[in-house]
Amino acid sequence: MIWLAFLFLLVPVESWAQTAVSWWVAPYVRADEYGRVVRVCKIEQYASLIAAEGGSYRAAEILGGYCVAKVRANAAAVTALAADADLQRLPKDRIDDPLSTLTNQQKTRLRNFILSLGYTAQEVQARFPNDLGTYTLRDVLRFMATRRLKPRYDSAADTIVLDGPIQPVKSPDTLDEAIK
Amino acid sequence: MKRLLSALLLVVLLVSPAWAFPDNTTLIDDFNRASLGANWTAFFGSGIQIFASTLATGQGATDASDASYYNAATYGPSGHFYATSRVGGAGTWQGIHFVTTPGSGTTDGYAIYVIYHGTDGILGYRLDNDVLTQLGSQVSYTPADGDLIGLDRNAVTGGLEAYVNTGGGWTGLGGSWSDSTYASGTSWRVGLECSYDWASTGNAWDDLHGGTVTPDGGGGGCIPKLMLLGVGC
Repeated sequence: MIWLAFLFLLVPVESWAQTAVSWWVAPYVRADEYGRVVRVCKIEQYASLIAAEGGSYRAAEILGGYCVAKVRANAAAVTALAADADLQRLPKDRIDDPLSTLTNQQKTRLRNFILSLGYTAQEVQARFPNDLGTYTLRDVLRFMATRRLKPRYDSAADTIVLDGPIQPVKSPDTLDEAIK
Repeated sequence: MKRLLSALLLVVLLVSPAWAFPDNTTLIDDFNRASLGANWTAFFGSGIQIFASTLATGQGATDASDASYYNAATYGPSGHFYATSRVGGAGTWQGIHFVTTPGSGTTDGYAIYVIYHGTDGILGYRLDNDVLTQLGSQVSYTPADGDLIGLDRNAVTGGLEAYVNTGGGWTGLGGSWSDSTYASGTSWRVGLECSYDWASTGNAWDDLHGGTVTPDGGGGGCIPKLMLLGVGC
C-alpha cells in the first residue's frame, strides 16, 4: 500500500500556498481594436500578473460602469493592483466576513462608493437601514450587483454611455464559487 | 457476461459527452463565387466581400473592421458555428458573430475574435448596441493559416466558448466566459468580420458551417453523473 502514497507525487498541485483571495472593484476602460469600440474590466490588464503561481480572477459588471472581481493572486500581483488608483480593494476577503470590524471611515467610504455607482440614497437606506457593520461582504456585493444598464456608443462625444435598459448582473456568489 | 457488458455500456455512456463541438456541421457558405450576393447583409463598416472567388474578407487596407451576417437563415438561441481562418501575417483581427438585431449601433449578442498582432489570442465579447464588452480573459493562441475557429454559444448556461482545430481535432478555449444577458429567441444571425482585406494584409474566412444546437439539460457537454457514480461532469 506504500506505493499508493507515491501517486500523490504525480498529481499537479497549484501553488496556492503563495496566493490569497481578495475582492476588488474596478472601472471598465476603453480597449478599442480595428475600429471597434471595446470596453474591458481594468482588472484584465493585470491578468498575466494574477496568473503567476496559479492565480486567477472572475469579474462581473455592476452598475456605474464598474466591475467587481474576486482575485486569487500572489503578493506581487496584489501589490500591483493596490498601486492602481482606479482599483479599490474591498475591506474584507471572504464573502461571508462581517463588516463589524470596519472603522467608521471605512464604512462611510464603502457607502459613498455604492452611491457613486448610481444607486439612490433611498435604495441604499432601504437595503442597509442599520450600520453597515451589521452586514456582511456578501450583502454589500449582492446589492452592488442589483442591476446594470445597457451601454451604447455616442460617436459625437466618443464616449460609451450607460443609460439603456436594465440588464441582468452575474451574481457575486458565482464569482465566489469560481475562485476558491 | 451480460452484467459485465451492461456495466461497460453504462461506463461508456457516462463518460461520453452528450454533445460535442461541433454538434451542427451544416455548410452555410463556401464563398466559391465571384461576388457575395444577396444572402449577406453588412452590419459593421462596409461588410465583407469575396476575394479570388474563394474567400470572405474585409474591404480595404485600413485597420477598420467590416462585418456581414448571413440573412438567409435564423438560429438560436444556442448555436455552434465554425469557419476556416485564413491569415497571411500578423496585424489582423477577425471575428465570428452570433447576434440579434444586427446593424450599425444596434447589434446585440456575442462574438469571438482572433487577434493576431503581438499579443495573439482569442477573446470573447458581449455586444450591446455594437459596443463590445470583453468577457473574462484573452486566451493565448497563435493563429495559423488554415486553422478552424469555432463559436459555441450555450444559451441555457450562458456559456460562450471558442474552439480551435489545427488539424488534430477540436480543442475548447475560453471556458470561463459566460453571460446570460441575451439568451432567448430563434432569430439570431451568424456573422463574419475581418479587419483589412486579403490582398493587403491577409485576413479572411472560408467555409462557414454550423447552426442551432440544443444543449442537454442545461449542463452541456456531458451527461450528469452525480446520481449514478457520485462524480460530476
